[in-house]
Formats: sequence, structure tokens, C-alpha cells
Amino acid sequence: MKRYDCLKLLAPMVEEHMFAVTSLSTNAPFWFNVRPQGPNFFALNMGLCLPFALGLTAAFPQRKVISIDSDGSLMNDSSSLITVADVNPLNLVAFVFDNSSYAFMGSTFTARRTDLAKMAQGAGIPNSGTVRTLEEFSAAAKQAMASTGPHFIVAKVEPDAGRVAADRSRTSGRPMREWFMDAVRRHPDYQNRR
Amino acid sequence: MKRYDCLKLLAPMVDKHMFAVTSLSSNTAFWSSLRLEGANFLGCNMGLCIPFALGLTAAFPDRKVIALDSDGSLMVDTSSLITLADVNPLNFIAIVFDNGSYARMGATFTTRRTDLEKIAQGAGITKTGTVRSEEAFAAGVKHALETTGPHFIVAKVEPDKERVKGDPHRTYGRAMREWFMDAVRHHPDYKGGKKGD
Repeated sequence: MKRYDCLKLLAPMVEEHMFAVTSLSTNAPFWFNVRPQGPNFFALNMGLCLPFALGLTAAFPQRKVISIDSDGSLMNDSSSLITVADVNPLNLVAFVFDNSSYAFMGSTFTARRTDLAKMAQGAGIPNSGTVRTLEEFSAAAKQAMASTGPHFIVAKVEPDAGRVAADRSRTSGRPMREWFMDAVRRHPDYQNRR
Repeated sequence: MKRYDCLKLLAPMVDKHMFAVTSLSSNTAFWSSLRLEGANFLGCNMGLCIPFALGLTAAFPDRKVIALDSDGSLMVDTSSLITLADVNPLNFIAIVFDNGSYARMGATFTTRRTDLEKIAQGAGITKTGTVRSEEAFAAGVKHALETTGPHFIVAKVEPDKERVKGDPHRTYGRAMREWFMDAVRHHPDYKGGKKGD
């Protein structure tokens, strides 16, 4: 199973007012290509994707927030799973694309003994599972989008061979943040707090 | 079950050449009153007890290393369990005293949805257990000391009511570290370090 194929299946399920948050590296350019519009926050540093998404669930409780994380990033701070379980946000859908490698720099722990879905269950997220085929991915994503969460889905994917170009001003740094804040300010649920 | 009672059962099982590492607060004060001699590193800051002990397992592979951690501390860095599972140190015993509270400051996640033993299993540690009685604790620890690890034992205890005043020279700061380094240098397995170690 390839990450890009999964994201292509996911993008049409994400409505224009839902939020998406991605980790660094491959998730960011891939997601930008399949969902360029709408409130997307791209390329959070390692360990920060899930916590950032968790904050958004509190700010926008009526909308699904989709966290598009990866194994290396989540394992930087697996304690964030405990916080997610405890806050129990009904509108969080967390995906972890587990390619069992740190970019091109070697294998991660999930290639050996570690099972992230089991860790999430231990943290206290009962709706946790692992998918290995596109059919399973699509079914799990559909189910998660249609039901209350929090959902935690580990998608076992191949290491990414191809690369996708993305406009860096949309996927990183200050311009990306301004695009995101602009989308937040235009969001129908946004209540100006100042 | 009380933490102090568990530690009183544990102390006589720990022979003088084993290593012990404790997290802050109650574990440190209690342990320092029970095991005065030997290589003890006391009062590791939150999240650092298991990682410190993991380092010791590599330095002293023929001795058991016992990490006496607590729920609040471990949950600061549960990813350390992933490293532990991956390194797979055969001489490691982690005992997590889970009193479900941050000292006297409120309940932790383990009183609600979180199960630390399950997280450890997910991380990849197969020899895990949760004990709720002194008999189960003693049996779990005895088994762990006699077999290869890594072992991960969660001991569900009451919030601590009694207090033990540890000697600050033995439990804290530079003086504690010097006690520890002295014990390391006198350890039969110590191969010597560079000057100034």
C-alpha cells in the first residue's frame, strides 16, 4: 500500500470546512496536492502533529479534525496519545502513515517490536486499528469520518519511492501559517475572540 | 497496597552489586531509607528514570538494573518504552508504582483510561504485568530477578500518606551523584574510566 494512494482516497472524504494537520516530509507535499484548499496546517515538526490537531478539536468542536501523522513523528512523543485519550475529542480522526522508516535514513522501531495501534489502545483510545490494504484504509476512513471519535488508524505503507513537488510557500513557514490563519478567519464557525 | 510496603519487600531481594535508579519524590525517600549501600541513583527527574536505567544496563550487562519509576514520571516520556523494547536489555527490571496521582496535586490519566502495561506491550515489551497485592508484587519481582528481561511491572498502590525524610546528602544533587559514582568505581564489574570520570 502506498501513502499517496491512501491520501488520494482520503481527500474526497474531507469536506471544505474540516481541518487537516500534517507532519513533516512526505505527508505535507502529498496532502497539498490532493487538498490544496481549506484549513490545512502543514509540516508540523516531529511529535507535534497530533497535539496540534488536538488543540483544533477544542477550538472547532463541530468539525472533524484530521491528523495526518507518521510513525517517526508520533514516536517522538507517544505520550500525546495519553492526552488524546484523556481529552477524548469526539471529532478527531488521527491517521498515522507507518512506513517504518525515518525518511531515507533507516528503519524505525515499528519495523521491529513496536505496535502503535496497541500503544494507542493502552493509552485509552478504544477506536484504534491497523490497516494494510487500500480497501481496508478506505473503509476505516469512511467509518471514522461518519462516526464519533477519537479514531486512531495506523496505515502500514511502503517507504515512499516517488516524490511530489509542492509549492513551498503553501506547505511550510510563515506563508503557510498565513494561509491557514486566513482559512480559520473565514471559517463559518470562527468566533473572533479579540 | 502501599508503596513503602512493596519497597520493603523488594529491598532484601536486591543484592549488593545490582543497580537501582529511582524517580523523584516518594520513591527516592523510601528507597534511600531501605537500601543504604550499593549503587543507587536517586531522584531522576520526571521521564528520566527508565532512560537512565537503560544506559546502566548497557554499562553493566551482567547485573540486574532496577528502575523504580512512577506513573506521572513515566507518562512524561512513554516513548522511552519504545527504546527499551527495541534495545531489549536482558538485565532490566522496570517497576512503576502507579498511585494515580501527581504527588498531592491531582489525579493522573491512569485513574481514567490509560493502562501503562498495555502501552508497554504495544511498545514491544512482552514480559509485563500489573500487580495489586503484596503477594503478587513479591512473586512478580522474584520472578523478574530470576529470569531474563526486560521486565515491566506496574504496581497499583494507594497515594502515599506516610512520609519518610531521606538524608539529602544521599538522595539529592552532587552529594548523591558522588555516592553513586563511588559505588560504581568500587563495583567488581567496573572496568575503569578515563581520568576525571
